[in-house]
Amino acid sequence: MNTKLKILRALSMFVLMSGAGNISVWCRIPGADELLKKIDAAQTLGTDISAQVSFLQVRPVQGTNRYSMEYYRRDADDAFLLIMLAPRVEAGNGYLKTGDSFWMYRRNTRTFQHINRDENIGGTDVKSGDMESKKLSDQFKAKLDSDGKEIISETALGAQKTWKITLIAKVDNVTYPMQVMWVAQETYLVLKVENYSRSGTLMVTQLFPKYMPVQGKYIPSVFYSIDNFEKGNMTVTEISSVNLSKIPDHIFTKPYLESRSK
Amino acid sequence: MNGRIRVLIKPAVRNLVRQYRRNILLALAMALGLCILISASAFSEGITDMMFNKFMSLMCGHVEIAVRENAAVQTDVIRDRHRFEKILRENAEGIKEISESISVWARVLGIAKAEGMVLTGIEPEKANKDRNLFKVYDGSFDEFISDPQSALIYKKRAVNMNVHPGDYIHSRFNNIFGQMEAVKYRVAAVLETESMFQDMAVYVHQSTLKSQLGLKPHETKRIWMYLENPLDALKFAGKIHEKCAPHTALYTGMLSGEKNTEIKCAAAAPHPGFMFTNHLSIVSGSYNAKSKNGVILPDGLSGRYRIGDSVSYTYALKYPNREKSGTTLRLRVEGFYRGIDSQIPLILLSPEVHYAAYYANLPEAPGETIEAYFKPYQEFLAKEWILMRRSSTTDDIIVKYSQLNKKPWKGHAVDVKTMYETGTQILQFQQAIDKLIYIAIIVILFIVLVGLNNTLRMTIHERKTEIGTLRAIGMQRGDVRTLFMLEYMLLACAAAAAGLLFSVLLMAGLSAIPIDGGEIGSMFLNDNRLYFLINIKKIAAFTAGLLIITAIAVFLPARRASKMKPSEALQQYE
Repeated sequence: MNTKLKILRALSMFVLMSGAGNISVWCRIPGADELLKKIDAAQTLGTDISAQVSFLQVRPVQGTNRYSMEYYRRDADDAFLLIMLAPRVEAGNGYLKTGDSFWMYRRNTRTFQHINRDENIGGTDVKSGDMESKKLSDQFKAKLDSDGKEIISETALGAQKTWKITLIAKVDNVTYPMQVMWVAQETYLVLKVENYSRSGTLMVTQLFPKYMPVQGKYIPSVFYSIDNFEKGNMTVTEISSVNLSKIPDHIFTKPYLESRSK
Repeated sequence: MNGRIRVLIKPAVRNLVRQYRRNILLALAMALGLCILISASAFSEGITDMMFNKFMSLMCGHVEIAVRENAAVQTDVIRDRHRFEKILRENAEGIKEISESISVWARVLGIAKAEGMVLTGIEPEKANKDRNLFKVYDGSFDEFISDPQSALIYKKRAVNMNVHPGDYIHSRFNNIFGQMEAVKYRVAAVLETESMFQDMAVYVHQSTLKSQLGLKPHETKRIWMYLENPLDALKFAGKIHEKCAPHTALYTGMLSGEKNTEIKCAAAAPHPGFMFTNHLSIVSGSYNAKSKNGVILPDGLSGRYRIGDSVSYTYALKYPNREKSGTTLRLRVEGFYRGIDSQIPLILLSPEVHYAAYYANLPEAPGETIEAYFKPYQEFLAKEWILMRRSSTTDDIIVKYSQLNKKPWKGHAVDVKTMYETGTQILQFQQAIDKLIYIAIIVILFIVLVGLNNTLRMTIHERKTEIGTLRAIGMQRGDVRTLFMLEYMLLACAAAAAGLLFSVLLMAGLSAIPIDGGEIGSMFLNDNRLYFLINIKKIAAFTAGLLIITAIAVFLPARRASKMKPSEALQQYE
């Protein structure tokens, strides 16, 4: 080949390769508000959803326990209903949220009790607040560094290109006031969340390796909650049999929950 | 003393000694019965004393003021501690101590093992004065006093979690907002294990824990009072309960719009469930109780503002701090009302706005003058809190809170309770033991009654000749009866004295023996020993009971003996 052509070819290859390595220089890092809204848009259904949910709780000392439940959620008014199916000791118990009221139902006493959003579901590590439909943009904002800039960067999580953003709570009623979140650049799906306590201690790491598409939106079909406080504790959540049909109003009522618990 | 009785005492004593074996056995039986009664009663008193004065007063004080925030949800926070402490100081007669109760359930992680425990805040200065209450097994109590990030932990839990003085424990708990918090403490000292209840406590500096829970200096979780006489708790609680009546939740501040100058207004929220009527009516716009930023203005301001206008309401805080001395509510005019005439305009916030703003940013008190303007309308306006009725038992407390859960009220609910309501089960336990003791009393006294009666019948039968002789030489019937009564009353007195002595020796002996009660049994032990608390009134009552029963048991046979004719009595001998 002509030497000149060879050099040109080599130069072109070099430019292309260096350009590829530096592609991030030209890829705009979104602002926090924009990013959070896109995450909400990707994951907020805005419709009713019912599903089967199972938790596999792994504890080094106590062993492994499996919990399963039916889950109903109506995003229009932030209502949800959860009916425990297994294990036997929890079967028939339930959790209901309507408006700002969270209720826990106990089958053996047939009583309802007000609970907080930090109440654990059926003795698992999952909190009742985790079952709510929440908009990130309503609850969090970007943390600022010492220069007043939002802490957002581009990084890789395995083979995935992600935005890594550090968030702090805008409101008081969140369980973890600080989060570090990895969001897939292409799909704006949350892949990993590190949840921090108010004092900045890493408490729980959540991994979302698998999503299922549902009518143009995405719901995590499997996710892992790893307890960073008590090492070795982990909860694996699986969501299946997702149905987006409208849920009748009577489902989100105490009488219905009671009737299902008999 | 009656001359007759003086004369008869000597022969009575002589007769007792004459049949000493039988009388000793009888007296011994009576003494043992009394000993059992006194010891059992003292044990029951001891358990109750430990439960109330050691556990219950540690868990809830003699009298407690608690404020349930957001009424329905289980969060106890007193936002204005000084207000309640002022009420208590103004009614301080009988109060020994007022203290804050700061504690939270936590998951505490030691070396590779975690336990559920209660982080309990204590004031180091107070702890230092009462350091004899903290029996140090290992480590330094002085280090705890000087290090705000240190902790005291009981031996049993320390062993379970494999921690020693100098090690760190990590705790995880929810603060008052429900947010997760994780804190590290250094173990300053390990305390001797007391009981299963106290073992759950990890003591930390109160000010440190308050800050970690998100409480400001003027806030607290609960207020406890310790009284000079714990038995006055119920009466005292009733008095304090009356003093905790709420005022209308009013705040004065400045209202301003985008184009208007500020005007001074008062603000309040309608009472939950309030309906506008002809008397107090909406003249334009609408009232939405669930509005997140709505405000209804008096009709008199309709010239300055229109429906849909954005306005702001700024008021001064009762507890200003470095960050702020006032706060501003961003509101939207949703309507105008008519029906409240006052010197200054009263704007009506939606309950949602009010609940969110009022407790988190306590406003300055409006003053008596302002309160007086709106006194005629107080039934329409939300109060600072709901004052919950006094409860009588633990079950009643549960019913009371479940009724509260059903109300739409989202503000504060104030409850005044004593350790007696909170510890109804302990009272019931004590009552159950008392019932057993009463049954034992009846059984023992019945045995005494029957025993005495039989013994006396036998004695009278054997001493018929003696009775006949005494009557023949001129002893009156009354004297014969008195003689027998005296004999057995003296015996009963000797038995009572012996019974008292036996009980003292028994209680002293049993309480000297160390016992490993385990987790459950330790509830009933004091320092691993049985605990007896002597109640003089009960001892006096038991002793008097014994004497009375003796008198009853002896009276009829003695009367029968006195009615014997000398001729019949002497005829027997022949």
